[in-house]
Amino acid sequence: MTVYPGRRMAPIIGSFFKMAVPFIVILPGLLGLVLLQNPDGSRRQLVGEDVVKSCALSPSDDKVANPEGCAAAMSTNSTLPAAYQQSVLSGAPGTELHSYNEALPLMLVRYCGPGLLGLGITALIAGFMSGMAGNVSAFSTVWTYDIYKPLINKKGTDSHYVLVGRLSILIGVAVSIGAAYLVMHAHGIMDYVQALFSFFIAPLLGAILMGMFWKRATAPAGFLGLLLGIVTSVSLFVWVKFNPSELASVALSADAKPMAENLYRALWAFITTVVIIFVVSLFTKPKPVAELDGLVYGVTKLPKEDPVPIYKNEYLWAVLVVVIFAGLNILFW
Amino acid sequence: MHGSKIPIWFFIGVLLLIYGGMICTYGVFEAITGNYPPLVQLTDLHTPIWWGGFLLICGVFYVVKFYPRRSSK
Repeated sequence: MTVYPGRRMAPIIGSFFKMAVPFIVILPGLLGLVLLQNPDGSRRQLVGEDVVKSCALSPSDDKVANPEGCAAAMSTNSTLPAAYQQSVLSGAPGTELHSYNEALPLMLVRYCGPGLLGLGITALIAGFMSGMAGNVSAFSTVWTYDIYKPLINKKGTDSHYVLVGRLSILIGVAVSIGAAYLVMHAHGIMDYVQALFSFFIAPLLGAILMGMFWKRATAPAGFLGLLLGIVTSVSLFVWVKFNPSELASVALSADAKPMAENLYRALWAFITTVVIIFVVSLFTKPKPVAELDGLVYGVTKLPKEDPVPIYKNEYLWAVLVVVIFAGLNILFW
Repeated sequence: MHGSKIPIWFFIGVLLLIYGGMICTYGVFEAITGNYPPLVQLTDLHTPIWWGGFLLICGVFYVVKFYPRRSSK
């Protein structure tokens, strides 16, 4: 069997980029908190998208359209000083609110003149587009190959499956445009994305780890674990949404910030999935070990490897990733 | 590789060349006239000249290296 070290190197290279995401996403926001200014030179205060929405200006007279709603949103969901809140309500010039989502564009506007600003915005949009393109193609592949072909229509022609893939792209993009409107109700894009990750990614991680490393895990247990993990996570979210006092139960502190809540919710969903997969697997019929070759670590025959130079050894880079990951966590604890 | 086909890197070079040329030229114009956009900070660092120049150099490199030539085959 031929060994392709590059295959194992790919996720490790990917993990370096993944670690850079907090720097790319969070650092500009932190810098923006310190550096962004209002036109009069005072420090610009960013607020959540929900507060910006409550304080939208009325189109007729540059004043806040709904002063009561705006005042309530500012006092409960932002840390704006009282004087600043008053000037926002009175419609003083230069006090229009900007959300955390705008930190990067606002920083670009502050430091980049004509030309460079356009290039920066183009780079941002290109980044969004390439991310979107990756997700769209993954969505259409998963839908067509993993769901439609094995479960709905097994005997279609190639051109039929291509058509289904294309239609699924159209529908997926339409749904994602609709989902973008949901972000307007969230505090910011980061909160929204982390909430979604806690719904879907955390249970998925539990299912993948159990499937990869435990040969006794069964398919029904995997399905049930994943499903109940997602249900647990969504239920915890809804529970706290309607009973804010229950934050202390989910995030172990009544003062927990949304990000802490997301992390704890993800942890509970992960544990639920792992426990359910473990218990249900014990009561269901296991797959014969012979069928697990190439799927489960421990029963997969590993090919013999030729020695490679140290810089091509993926274990070296994997250890480096773990060290940097631990270092960053200790540094920013 | 594919005979007389134009490599994609050539187009990337042309794009970088155009962007870099425009931004660098604007930067030089801005520096000579002293006519800076009012709300932009740190204009004394002349970022458009440096970044525009960098893009320009990258563009020249890609255009020269991947300039489409007739295949000798």
